[in-house]
Amino acid sequence: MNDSLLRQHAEQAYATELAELAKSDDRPRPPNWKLSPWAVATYVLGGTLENGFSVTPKYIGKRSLVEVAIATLATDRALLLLGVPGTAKTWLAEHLAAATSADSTLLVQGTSGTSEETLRYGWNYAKLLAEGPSRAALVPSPIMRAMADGKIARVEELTRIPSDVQDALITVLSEKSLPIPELNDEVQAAKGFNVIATANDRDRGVNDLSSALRRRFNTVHLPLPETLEEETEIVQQRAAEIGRALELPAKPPALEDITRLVTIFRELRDGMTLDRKVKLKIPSGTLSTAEAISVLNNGLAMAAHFGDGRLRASDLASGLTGSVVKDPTQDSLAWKEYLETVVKERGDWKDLYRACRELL
Amino acid sequence: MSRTAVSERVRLFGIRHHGPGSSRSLLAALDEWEPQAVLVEGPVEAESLVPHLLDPEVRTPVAMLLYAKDTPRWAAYYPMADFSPELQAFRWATLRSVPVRLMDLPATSMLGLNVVGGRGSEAMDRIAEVAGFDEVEDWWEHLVEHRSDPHELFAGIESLMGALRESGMEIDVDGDDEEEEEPDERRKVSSDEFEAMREAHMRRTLRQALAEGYERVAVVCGAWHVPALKHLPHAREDDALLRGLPKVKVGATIVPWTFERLTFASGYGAGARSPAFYDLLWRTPPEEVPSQWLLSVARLMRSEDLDASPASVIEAIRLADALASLRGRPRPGLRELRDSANSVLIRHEAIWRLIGRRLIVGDRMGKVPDSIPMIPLQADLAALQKRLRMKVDDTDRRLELDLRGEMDLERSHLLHRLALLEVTWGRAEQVVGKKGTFHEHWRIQWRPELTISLIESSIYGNTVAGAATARAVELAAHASSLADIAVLIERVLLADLQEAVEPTVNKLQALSATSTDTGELAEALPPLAAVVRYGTVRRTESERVVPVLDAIFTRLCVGLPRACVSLDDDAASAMAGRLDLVSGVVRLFDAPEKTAEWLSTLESITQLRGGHALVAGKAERIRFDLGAVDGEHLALRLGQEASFGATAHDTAAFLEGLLDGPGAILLHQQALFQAIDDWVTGLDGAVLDEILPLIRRTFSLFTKPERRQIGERVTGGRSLTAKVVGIDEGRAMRVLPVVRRILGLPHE
Repeated sequence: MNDSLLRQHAEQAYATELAELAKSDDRPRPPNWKLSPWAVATYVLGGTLENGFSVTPKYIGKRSLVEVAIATLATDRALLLLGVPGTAKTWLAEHLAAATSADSTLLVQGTSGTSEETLRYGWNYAKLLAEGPSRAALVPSPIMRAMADGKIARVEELTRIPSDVQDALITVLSEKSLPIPELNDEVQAAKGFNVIATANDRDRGVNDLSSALRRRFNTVHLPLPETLEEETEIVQQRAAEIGRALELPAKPPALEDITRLVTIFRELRDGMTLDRKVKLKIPSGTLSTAEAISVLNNGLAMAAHFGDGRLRASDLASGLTGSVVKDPTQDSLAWKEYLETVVKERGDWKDLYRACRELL
Repeated sequence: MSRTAVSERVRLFGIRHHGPGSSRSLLAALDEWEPQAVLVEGPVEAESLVPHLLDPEVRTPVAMLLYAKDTPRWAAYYPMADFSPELQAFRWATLRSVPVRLMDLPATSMLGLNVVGGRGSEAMDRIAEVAGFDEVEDWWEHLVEHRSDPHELFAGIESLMGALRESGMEIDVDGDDEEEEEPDERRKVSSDEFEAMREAHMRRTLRQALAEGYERVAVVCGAWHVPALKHLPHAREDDALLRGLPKVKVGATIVPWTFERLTFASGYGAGARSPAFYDLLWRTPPEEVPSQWLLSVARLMRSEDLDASPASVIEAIRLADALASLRGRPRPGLRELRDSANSVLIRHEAIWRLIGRRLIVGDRMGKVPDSIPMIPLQADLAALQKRLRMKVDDTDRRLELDLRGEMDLERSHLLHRLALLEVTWGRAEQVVGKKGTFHEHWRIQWRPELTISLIESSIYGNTVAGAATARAVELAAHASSLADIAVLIERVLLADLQEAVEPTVNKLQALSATSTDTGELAEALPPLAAVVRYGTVRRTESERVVPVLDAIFTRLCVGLPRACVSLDDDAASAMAGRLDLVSGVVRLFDAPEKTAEWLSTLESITQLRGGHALVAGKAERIRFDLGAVDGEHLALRLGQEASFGATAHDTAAFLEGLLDGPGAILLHQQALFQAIDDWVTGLDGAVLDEILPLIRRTFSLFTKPERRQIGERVTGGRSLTAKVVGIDEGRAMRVLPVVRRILGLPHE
């Protein structure tokens, strides 16, 4: 493992936890799985092992959702994680792949330009021309490699991929094989292979799944965090982790600051103050938990490099304004209203009010 | 305290009420041990119901109902489904001719006590929750799977409950059972005292069974009570607890129940959360439950035109299995099945409501045959329902009756009679259109608690007709207002209660003769008129009402003008409403002499000194509608009201009364239109500001098309030529610089 990496893969960052779990895990493992489903659940949701080793929670939320996701990976069907942006779909997918096959890197990023070759295989044209079609001239996709090794492949933003390209997955998921007609050959999936796809249901309709493909997936819908406490915990934990990774010299933020930030996000997202007394305009941005985390990190970086190392309201203000005001006219109106009617009225939020006002 | 351990002769089977797992374990245990007597939790008075409960014609769910004969609302239900351990214990014992005893506190005492503080919910639910299961049956399955023989299982439950009771764990005694303090002359006892009495009586019954010499006595009771029965203290101690208890007369019967109602806590203080699923658990071998349930989900979805292929059902079963093993369960429970269906099959949240209703709670309703002991009133109703071929169930259905047919007329009578007895099986709906004269629409739905209302009504008589008559006569005797009695007469005639007609009509006469309140008289009129009008279709004795109605009408005509003097705004609008009521009745009569009488009354109202302008306007409008005066007259009257003598406020009120009704009058009566137009345009600006809201309100009652047509007429220039008044040129000039800039012209 290399400490100079900007970001480590899940299986690198949590290598110790995975090793401990593997050591104490005596439950049956599905073929080619590195851990038993129970241990995967413990890895994702956190818990204390029998030997006293404590596993940090990676996903904070409904236990049953994670259980359904893991159980799905052990069945014939692939897993589709749905949710609005910033609900930890990718995060959960990465950790599931890391825990089940110790490899979260077999990843296809879905875009409108994703071609069938990206999902199946391509050719090394120099070799193809020189030697003619052969296995050596073939460039396998991450999915093909996952099939060969019996690992989990990930497809990010599945619905952004054009429909006809999406459907290339059908054979993979139903026959568990990838034909290579040029060589009159195929790659058959080894046991343990499965696919985790994520899709954003706010921009649904981009390229909705065909019902044939849909049928190959079990759907798990990831919600936004249910309570203020839950969301605060998520933001706090993630901010601390990222802060460590980025080696920010700032002091960890106070809990009140995080609660305040999460409160603002929740209120604007719901269009209603937490006490349900004041109705608010809803800005156009998603205001997800992930967004809150990045505002906090931005603030910590500001505090570390331009401030005195302590997170102050002024450090948060610019990031906050940036993430709320995505559309300069409508959103800034909503934001201004919120500042004047809600933030200003809260006694101990004066500093934040002043800092945000200055930026408008 | 000296305690004798209950000898080897007794075994305690702690069960969970309505638990299919309990039933299964219980039967296995009974088969193995073969007891000579079976004692079951439940009041002794229900013993006589046991053979009826096992009648092959009974379709569960049903409930044993025990009620105080003198005060039927003191009642207790003991619901039973096929999967209830109590019912299975009864069945097991009866098949083998083993005597069954019910051992709880007798209903004669129980119903005479007012238990305050609510009853505890079931211990098992709480423990399952603590153990991290959200469905008790899952937990039970879990428990059973880990014990090889039932005997060991029940011993385990016994020690678990013992430990719980020792530790003083509160079993969720929720107080919201008692929403309102009804006046209750019964002796109050706390729920703790009550539980102690019940357990004392259970021990007493057990002692007795032992004294009778049975060698193997099986006790089937809620698990919570088991520790209390483990040791028998001296009989004297229990006798002390049971001394001086009240004694009320008790009736007992069996009533149909529903799965939905099983989910509420009742007599056993315990509800089943998912009866339909429990039923499946009971009927199906455990290994087939997941596939059966998921198949039903798929079938349900297909019936709603949602996609659910067999392949996806197979996937759902696999996922449920995988989930169960992940969660360390022997096999998928409802929670796993729900999670997996949600992920594999279901794409629309809305279907969950349907699944909940059909496949988790269930919509089954029980049925009891006529041979069940019933009170005479119940039996009479059952016979009537059978003869009139009316379906008794808890689905909310629509019933359309054509009163020209003999059968439908009788059905209508029955529903009206039951309504008088407050057994609200049916709710009458408004019938619109011409059909109204000989059609009735009802929504009928039989809810089990209606049986209680029926039993309560039995103090009035033993037949539906007799009881309804007695009840109507009682209501008539207590009626104090004319409107009440008028409504009652209508109900009596609709219910065809011949013998109640005379007393109610007499009361009507008496009340109307002494009433001086024209408001009351006016409100009594419409129901009475309806009775007379529709009497012939319904073959009611409406002719008896005619003379009273005539008398009331005459009194109204005499009294109304006087009642229209010195009214404030609120009283005036109430009075205007009454004039409308009476007019409706007059139109219904369609009798020239009555119309004439009414018109002359109205005329005198319009000529009153000190009358309210709103009422006067209303009276004029009614006269116009009845064809007594024309548009010219209205215009003239408006002119008078708008002249110098009256304030603008009065004029607006008059206008409001006059225009209350279809706005077409303004379109067709040119003279009236002109009069209003002249008045409005002639108003001083300040005054107009003041009364504009009133006029606005008046016009806002017209329909949109009417308003549009009126507006078109105003702007159409037929009557009003737009006059341009005083343009402020200074202000108008201010816009010019902007216009110049827009047009790119040089500055001035």
